[in-house]
Amino acid sequence: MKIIQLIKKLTLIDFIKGFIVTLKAFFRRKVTVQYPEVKTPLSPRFRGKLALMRYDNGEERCIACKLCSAVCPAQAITIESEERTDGSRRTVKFDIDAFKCIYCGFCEEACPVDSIVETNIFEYHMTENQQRIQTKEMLLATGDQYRDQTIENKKKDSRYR
Amino acid sequence: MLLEIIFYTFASILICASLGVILFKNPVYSAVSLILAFITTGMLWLLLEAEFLAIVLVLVYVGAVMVLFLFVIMMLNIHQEEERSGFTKIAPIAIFLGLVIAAELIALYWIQSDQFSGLESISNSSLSVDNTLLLGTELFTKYILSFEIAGFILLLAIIVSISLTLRTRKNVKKQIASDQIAADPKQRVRMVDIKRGEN
Amino acid sequence: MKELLTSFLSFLDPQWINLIWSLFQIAIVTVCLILTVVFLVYFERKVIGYMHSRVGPNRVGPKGTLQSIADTIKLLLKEVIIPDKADRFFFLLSPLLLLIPALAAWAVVPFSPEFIIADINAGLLYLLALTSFGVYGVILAGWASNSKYAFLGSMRAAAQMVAYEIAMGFALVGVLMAGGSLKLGEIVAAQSGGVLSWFWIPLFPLFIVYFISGIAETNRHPFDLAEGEAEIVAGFHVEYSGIGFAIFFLAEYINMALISVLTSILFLGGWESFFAGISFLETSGFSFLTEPSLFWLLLKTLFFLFVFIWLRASFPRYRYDQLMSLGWKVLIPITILWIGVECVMYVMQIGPWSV
Repeated sequence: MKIIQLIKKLTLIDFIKGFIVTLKAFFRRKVTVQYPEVKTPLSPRFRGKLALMRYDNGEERCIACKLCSAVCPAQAITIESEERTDGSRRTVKFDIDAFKCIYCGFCEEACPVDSIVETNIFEYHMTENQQRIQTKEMLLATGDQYRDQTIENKKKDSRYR
Repeated sequence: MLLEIIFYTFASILICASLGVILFKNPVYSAVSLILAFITTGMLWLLLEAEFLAIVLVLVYVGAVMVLFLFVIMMLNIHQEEERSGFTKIAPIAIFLGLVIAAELIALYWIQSDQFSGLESISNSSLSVDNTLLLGTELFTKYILSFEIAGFILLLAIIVSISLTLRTRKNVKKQIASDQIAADPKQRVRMVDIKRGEN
Repeated sequence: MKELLTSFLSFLDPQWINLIWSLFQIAIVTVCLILTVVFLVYFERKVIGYMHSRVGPNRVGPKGTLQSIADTIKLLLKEVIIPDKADRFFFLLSPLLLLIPALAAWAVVPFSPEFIIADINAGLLYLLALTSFGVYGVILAGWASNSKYAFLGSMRAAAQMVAYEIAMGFALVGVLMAGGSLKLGEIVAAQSGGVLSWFWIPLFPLFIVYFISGIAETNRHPFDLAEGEAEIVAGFHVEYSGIGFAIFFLAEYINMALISVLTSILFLGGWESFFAGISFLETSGFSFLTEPSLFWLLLKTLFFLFVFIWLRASFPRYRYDQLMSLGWKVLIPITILWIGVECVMYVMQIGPWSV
């Protein structure tokens, strides 16, 4: 046994094995995706940037129930509400701190009126610190911008919910 | 002309570096000056076409001895003021010793002045024989006994210093990689069939 | 070229013409080396990328070839930060202390039978002296940075270099016994002939030991404990930025190329062709394949550079005590043993050399 070990050591067998592994990889097909030009397909369940949705008539869905705010594990959502002249309860403030948000999707699941949704947008940035606060207007604008895409994704995923 | 420039440049660097060794307050600076002094000495020996000795000086002193010196100096973090305090006490003895060495060198030059020659002879004398070969033949024929004795003493010094500093600590828990690799699962694990109901 | 220079500057002393000619040769070699490093950085990233099943850099220039030039420009334009409590003199000096020996060692490297800057008698010793000199840059950089991590890195580098220096020296002793000379040109000449007459067969253990200790000397993977990222951040150059860091980088890659070129000169016959001595090729029209030239040296060097990178892609870093025991307890005994074997072979006249 000892002699076999000694021969193994002196002939550097293990090193040669290691070399062969990497050399095989050298000639293997490369798996790199050329990102900005080529993108990997996204699941409809992908959880990206948050948005607020509207009804078809343009009325905002959110009823200020604060369930999303309560369920949020990172406490990223701040909501203030008031009564409108027509008697309905609506938000005056709906802020999401994008730095706190961990994109868990609990808010979307908690929402009774499907107001807050997660789009599959993940390529966005901010240049200043204050911009991390996504206000109600910004969230609604995002929802309007990616409305069709988001609705389609939610439909695809609805079978599994 | 070129030779003179090279010689005087290196000679002045050597003198400055030697002064630096004793005058710098920071021991690291002193050690680096000593390295510079060794290198310039090597350069001067190269001018005398003693390339083997020059390179061996750099190789042994700069490459090995001074590395360990610097290592120790950096690790010890010597307090500079304490080192300086004894300076005035030692200074007269040091100056006296320096004067003695200077006197000896001058006397040597004065007695055997016919054997020394100026810079001109450097450029003219071209020792065409391989320096290393010449030294090797001398050492291994004429001076073989003294060479071997010196080598033996050095070997003895190595063995003694290792045996003085080597202490194996008992009960040290450490992993030995080669033993781990050599481990054979068949000797470590015993598969036992246990029938239901027994034991 | 030299004749042209001599006729052009005939009013000068021949001494001065020699000096100018040497400076000219040095400039050529230095520029070529820097270009080699530029290529090598790209080559390394590409090869490691391929070994990770990636494509490596491919954005800057065609197929990413200008990547290392972009990196260089980035490093040159960065701010040089000198830590407040650092020793300014050595902090600025130590990158140069690493770079200068790395460049100076190339003076004795024979590129082809005709082209060698200084064919000095003790070429091999000169190389040993200069490679050992490089450690000062590392030690002083770590000390001058006045940082714990940098200091630990430089301590590790010092102990490592002293240990592997010895194995390297013993491997070279074997080569000079076989070559019968300290001149690198004569060592290559002693290996003239085909693949079988090179020193790598009779001196195979020394060849492996030399290359391994060369990797350790250049502080490359898997012996780069001086800059172990996981435990001491980046080791001795952690405080350096911009051009200081670039010089450390440059010196490391020049040293890598030096070890590769030396391994091919000392053990693989330098400029000798792989096909030398095959009479079939020499007589037919392919005689250019058997002639010694710079091309073969570059090919062999490139192979060893590839092995350097291959090692980096393949193996994890050594633990420090394992590194030390490998150097002192494995490599040095192997070299001493093989020098003994070589003595016996020399006396028995087995091998490519003659008494």
